[in-house]
Amino acid sequence: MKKHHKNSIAIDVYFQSLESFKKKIENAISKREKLLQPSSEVYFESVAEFRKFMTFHKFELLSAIAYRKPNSIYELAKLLDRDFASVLRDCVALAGVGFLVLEEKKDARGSKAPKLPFAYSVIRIHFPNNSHQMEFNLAA
Amino acid sequence: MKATLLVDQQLVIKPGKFQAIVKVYEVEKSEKFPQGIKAKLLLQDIEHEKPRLLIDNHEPYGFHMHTKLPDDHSLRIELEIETYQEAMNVFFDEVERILKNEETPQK
Repeated sequence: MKKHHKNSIAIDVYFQSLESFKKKIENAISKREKLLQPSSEVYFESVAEFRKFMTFHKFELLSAIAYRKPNSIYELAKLLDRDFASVLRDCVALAGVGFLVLEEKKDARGSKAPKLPFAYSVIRIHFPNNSHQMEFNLAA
Repeated sequence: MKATLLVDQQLVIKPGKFQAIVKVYEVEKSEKFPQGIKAKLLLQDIEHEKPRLLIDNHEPYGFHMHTKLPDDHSLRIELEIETYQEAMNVFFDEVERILKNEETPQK
């Protein structure tokens, strides 16, 4: 993983405590202001939780989806030379958070194709209190 | 008045485990929706792809809690609350309790 130039399409990772998440929502409702999270933003409760979540395996998996475009999770597992069950588990976790989507294929087995929700090539981390940012290029 | 999506927010709480998902719609004020707010407060189990806790106030019910989804949709615990603020408090208190229980080994 290495730093990347600024013009790439990024998915932005932000950090927010449960308490401030709640306050932000209550504030929006009371003022009847729209608060819609774009698909290009992901919120974690803390940097530590994000670090636990985004393992090297998951990052490598996103990179393979972005640049090698596998048609199924099985194909992705083969590309990565990892066992299917652990790749499936990582895909489900990444999809749950919004880093990827699992598209139902129209085949008899009902298998799923892992895709990026939009064509991002960078994961941009916004550290708390706007202290600094870090970018990771999926092409690295 | 058509229901308008007012809030759509997600927060990953425990990596690969839980995500809080909040969707709030502004609706016509009525007996069922005195504040003109329809809310869905969900704690999603990411790992097992199923809801762990859901509080909502869809018709014909007031605010109620589902704790046995997706297996039992009919199990509803009626909450004796009137406002979305109270619903938010119940939801986030319950989320914290669930997280605490997850950290404490079961005897």
